[in-house]
Amino acid sequence: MKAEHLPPSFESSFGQEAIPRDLLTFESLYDAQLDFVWRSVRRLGVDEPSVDDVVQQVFLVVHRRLAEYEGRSSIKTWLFAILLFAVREHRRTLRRKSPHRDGSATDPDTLIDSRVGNNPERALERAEASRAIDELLESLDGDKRAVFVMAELEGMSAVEISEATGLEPRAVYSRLRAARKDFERAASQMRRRDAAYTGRRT
Amino acid sequence: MTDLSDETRNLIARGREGVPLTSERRSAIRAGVYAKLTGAAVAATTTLASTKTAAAAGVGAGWTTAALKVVGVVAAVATLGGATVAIVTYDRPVTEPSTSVTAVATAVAPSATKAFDGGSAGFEEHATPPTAASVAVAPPIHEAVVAAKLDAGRGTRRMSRDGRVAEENAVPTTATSIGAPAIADAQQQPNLSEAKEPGHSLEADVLLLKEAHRVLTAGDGAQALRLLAEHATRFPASTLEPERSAERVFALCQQKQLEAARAAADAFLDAHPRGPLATRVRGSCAQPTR
Repeated sequence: MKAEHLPPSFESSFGQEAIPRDLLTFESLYDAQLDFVWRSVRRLGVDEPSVDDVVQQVFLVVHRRLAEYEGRSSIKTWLFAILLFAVREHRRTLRRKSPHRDGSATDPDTLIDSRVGNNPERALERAEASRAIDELLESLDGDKRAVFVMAELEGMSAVEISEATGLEPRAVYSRLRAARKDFERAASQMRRRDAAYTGRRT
Repeated sequence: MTDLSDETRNLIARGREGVPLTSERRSAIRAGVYAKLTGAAVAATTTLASTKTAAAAGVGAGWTTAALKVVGVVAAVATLGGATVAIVTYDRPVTEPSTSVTAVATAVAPSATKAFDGGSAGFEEHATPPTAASVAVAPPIHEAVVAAKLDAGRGTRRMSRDGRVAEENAVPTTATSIGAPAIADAQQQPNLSEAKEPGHSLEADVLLLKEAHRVLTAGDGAQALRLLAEHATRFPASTLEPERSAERVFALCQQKQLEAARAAADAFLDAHPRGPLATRVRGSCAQPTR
């Protein structure tokens, strides 16, 4: 039986640094945090065609509420709270407009930056792993998915996750536990499927 | 608590950063944000008819030629939420208050910042930011960004959709000290505590760092190091200091200056031990000891 393992930042009060408020401008925030916001919106289950739109909504709110950010929490916590809200709103809008709409797969070729540089194998590996993670996340829903993304993919602490989601820390732990189970089960299935497909064990 | 298997942990380690967005995509998304912000302001500009400001021919958003002359050549004008942002180039200090600038911003303020409503209502109009083709002053010596971000209903308590009541306070602005006097005389006092020194542009900070990254990616580590040094001199307190420091590690790696790269990496990890940048620094040629 494996010993309990938690991501290193999980137990700390703050997994990420707070940005001093007087140094924060919308532009620098946009540039620094866009990738994080984009991939998180995607990972929370927003369908590919809608991600850009939801990301824009996030930054609209960021722009309007930047004055409220006091630097008490990390910027990731603050952003993730806005993110979660935007995704929820998007889902509500979707249900209103087209109840049968479903997500479509990501096409990573449109996303891979030309700055692949001198390590295209690494970039490809990263893209494939990212896509696999996206697929595995589909097996998690609601709070479990959000908590898993925040803890395991973004390295946020239990305190940060609690702040961003409004969940009690105890609930954060239990969601993470359940999420890990589901994720691992899906990951094993995927590996078995891939091994069967390629005809060799991985 | 159950743990994830090693294979799964490996997968996460490989893919957690996701795939970086292309710069085209980044720009497109940013354009969408500003378009939506501007769109929100279009509805409010109809109220400008009632202000003292007469709309200048060929220039939207109610800027008068007089106002534009005062602040100089307006390279681009966009309205952002409750603010009017003008990218101006000028060569002399503004000496007279520009009430028309105030009027524009004041009129734009009240209805421009709408509560986040799920994305559709209020943001459908797409306004093309007016260009100030008609105004010309003397050739610019330096560029500056004048951002007057006024209170959108100071003291208004607005219930936002997530149930929290948010006080819409004065928001931070960045303004050059040259443009500031014109705006500071506005009836609604914007918060200019974030005013930067003349010549500092909101965008210059980010653009310089991007340029350094671009040349490094193109293989010119020496030029990247020069640009990064310039960035450190011009913007010592930049929010993007971590990005700059990390980029310096990579540039030193590219230049095969391993000792310097290691020192820089160690210093970086002392200051920023966590996060995707730290991961990349650890994975670089520098092989830091942290």
